[in-house]
Amino acid sequence: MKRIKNKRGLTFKLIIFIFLSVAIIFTLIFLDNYDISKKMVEKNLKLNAELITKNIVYKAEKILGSVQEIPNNFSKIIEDSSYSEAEINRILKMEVENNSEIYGACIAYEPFYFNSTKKYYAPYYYRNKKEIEFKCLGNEQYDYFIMDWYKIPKEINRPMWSEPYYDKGGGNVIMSTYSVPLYREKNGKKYFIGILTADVSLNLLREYFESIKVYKTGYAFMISKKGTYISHPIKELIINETIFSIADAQKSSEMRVIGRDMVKGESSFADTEYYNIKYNKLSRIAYAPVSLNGWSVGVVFPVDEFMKDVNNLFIRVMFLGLGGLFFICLVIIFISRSITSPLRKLSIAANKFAEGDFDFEIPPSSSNDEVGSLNKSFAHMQSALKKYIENLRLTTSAKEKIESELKIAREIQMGMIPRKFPAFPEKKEFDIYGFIEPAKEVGGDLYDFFFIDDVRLCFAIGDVSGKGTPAALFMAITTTIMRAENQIAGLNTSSVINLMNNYLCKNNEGNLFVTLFLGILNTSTGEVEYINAGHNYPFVIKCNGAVSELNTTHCIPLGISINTCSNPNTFKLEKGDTIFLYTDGVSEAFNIDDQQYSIKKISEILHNQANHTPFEIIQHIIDDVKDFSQGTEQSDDISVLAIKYLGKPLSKVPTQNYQMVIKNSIGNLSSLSEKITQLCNNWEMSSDVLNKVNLVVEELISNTIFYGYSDTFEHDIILNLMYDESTISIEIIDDAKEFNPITQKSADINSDINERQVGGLGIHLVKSLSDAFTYQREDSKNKIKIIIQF
Amino acid sequence: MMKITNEKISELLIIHTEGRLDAITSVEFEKEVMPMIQQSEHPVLIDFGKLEYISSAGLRTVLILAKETKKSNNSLALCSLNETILEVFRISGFDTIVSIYPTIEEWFASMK
Repeated sequence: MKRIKNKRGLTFKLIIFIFLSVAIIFTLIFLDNYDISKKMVEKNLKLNAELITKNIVYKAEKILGSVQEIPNNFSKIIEDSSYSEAEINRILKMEVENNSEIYGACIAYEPFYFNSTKKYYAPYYYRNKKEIEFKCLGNEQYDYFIMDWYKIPKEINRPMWSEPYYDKGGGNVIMSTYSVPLYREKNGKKYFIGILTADVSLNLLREYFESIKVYKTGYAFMISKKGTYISHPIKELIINETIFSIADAQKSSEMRVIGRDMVKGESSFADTEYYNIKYNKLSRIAYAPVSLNGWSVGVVFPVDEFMKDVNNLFIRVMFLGLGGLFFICLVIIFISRSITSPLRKLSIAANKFAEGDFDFEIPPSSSNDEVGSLNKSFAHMQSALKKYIENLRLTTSAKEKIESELKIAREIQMGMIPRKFPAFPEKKEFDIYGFIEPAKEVGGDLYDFFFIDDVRLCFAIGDVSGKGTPAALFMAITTTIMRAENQIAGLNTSSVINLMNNYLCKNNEGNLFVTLFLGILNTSTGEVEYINAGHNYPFVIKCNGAVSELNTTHCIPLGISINTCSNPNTFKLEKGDTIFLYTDGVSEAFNIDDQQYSIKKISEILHNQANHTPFEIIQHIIDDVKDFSQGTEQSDDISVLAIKYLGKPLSKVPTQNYQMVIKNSIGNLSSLSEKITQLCNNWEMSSDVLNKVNLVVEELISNTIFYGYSDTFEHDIILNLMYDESTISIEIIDDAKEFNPITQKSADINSDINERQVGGLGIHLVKSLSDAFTYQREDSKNKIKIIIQF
Repeated sequence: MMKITNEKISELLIIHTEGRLDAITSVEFEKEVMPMIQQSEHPVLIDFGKLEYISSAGLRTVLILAKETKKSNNSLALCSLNETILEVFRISGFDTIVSIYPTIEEWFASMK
């Protein structure tokens, strides 16, 4: 993930970082703004709610007030007692007529007070539709003396509003009654004579409350002192339910708390939210008491509606913010493009540089900003690089010329030394291997070997004083004259050396000299004649592992002074012996600690090399020297030459083939074995091998004849015998049914005589006697090949 | 191809073989030797001194003869096997089911 991010361009990074920052700032502002707006709306709402509630309370009080004012005033008239019954009734009727808020009015007298014959006397005027009707209340069914509107004011001696009730047998509507107790003075004492009432129809209040609109679905309601609904948009609740019964039904503790505060006559805009009964919407409620009678008015404010403005604001600000962010994105893209496009062009130019195109024109930049200055620096770098590379090219081409000449010189020098191995593949009498590694391109070491007649191999190893080109040239002269002098027939090694020395001394302007070991090996006898002109003593590794040095020096190195060499030495290489020659580049190889590899180490290595070929011996020495020097620069040329004498080889038996075709009859086996015997005798094979061949052939062919064919036709079985130096291979091809002898389960060779079976024994014998056993099914033929070594 | 002679030395039967014991000759070998073995009531020795060659067919015959002598509570031994034949016996595990003696004399010595 991280890697992918790092790969993104500048534009992407700018967008991500700026966009994120702006988005975070915007979100914080937005949230803060939303919070403040919400608080403001709530504050306004609270003021508004209180105002609305107060207004409703005021209106309700006005209605109730105008209702209760009538009986309050009228009671004085009645208590005065100077009015007749008819007058009082007329006034009563008039009051109902003139006050639309009053549903009905009544004077209910104490029993037998007005008329000693009448227990009940209560004239009542009330509205029936548009008409004012009269009714005298009171009978056995309508025993008003025990009704709340009569009894309670009488007891408490003051006017009061009754709880709402359905006035059955009276006004026959849901109403609340304002009752004023009436007294009359007699003998200076006040006697209770009855109750004066004015009813207010709750319908009237309800109509008023329904007319109140609070937002869209908000509404107002009124409850009595006991919490009974007096007015509510849901008609069924009126009288029948209290705010507490509804709170219980709704399991709303918030509503119960509100109800309690309302009944207590408190006023507030409650902080708690609850689901209103009418629309089941999350709402808040404002309430205030009606001071006249202790009722309470509640106004329900649905939260979503009063929060609507805030939410609208929220959405509006959010859209504005998103639009702004989008615009910022576009601006960033534009700016970063204007920055990155010259950068991109510059990057292409840099890539072209990297590919070596220094003539690529840098795109011009008109701006003077940082990118413009980078462009200028780049152009400067281009011209500086161009100049530098031109210089470099000139210097290197001069150097390359010298190097390539040296390389050619090295090839020429190496071409003078025989380095193709096996050098004489047709010669089996000896094995020879040489290795040369100059310290510089060309060096002064040399080795050489060549036949001077059919059997005599001349070999030499030498080391010219100094290194590099002068030494190489001197080495070339030495090699050339050595070959030339050896061509003169009948010379022994010391004569050759003397002639070479004469030549080298005469023409030695550079005062160089060369150490040389020159030997001639008679490849048919193993005899070696040698001269050592100041060279390191070669080693002889005997076939039994003994290592010795040829520690004779016959003369000083060649090219120093004209003198005569003593007579050459001779020794004999036995079969398996090896002569190992080297230059001081090997024994004097240095390691990091400035230690020399030493002759002793060479001799140690050679001690267990008797069974190895010259190639393996030299490889071993070179690897060991390399391990020793641990990468220290080679200080001197290294040359090694080894010759292993193998003796005169035996005459070689050429490979011979013989093919026989046998018919599938068991009787043919005897003539077959005769033929094989004859053939093997011709090949001078031992009787043991002959018997093995016979056994293998008999077992396999008799198996095929006995079990291979399900028909009675004649079939050909082909037998190929191939014989060479060390093996005889037997190939049997038949067209019998498929049978792979190799995968057959092994024969029983362990159980005792009673259980012993002979099945599979033939194949077991073949497997045991052969050195290789293969089977192939090809072209519907079984092809078995067996090799026996001897 | 196969020459078979026999002699009796103090009741013991010695069968001399000469030639090759292969898929063809083993049939006549069995035919000739079986009755001799059946008639002999004393240990039998087959002398392979002049036998040049044996194949699995020959081994099979040896097994049949050995089983036959075992049946009649007699014993069968071989002697003077050449290197190749001895190797075949070893490879096939037959050296464990038939007693093999280097010479006739050693067999005699074991009989006493």
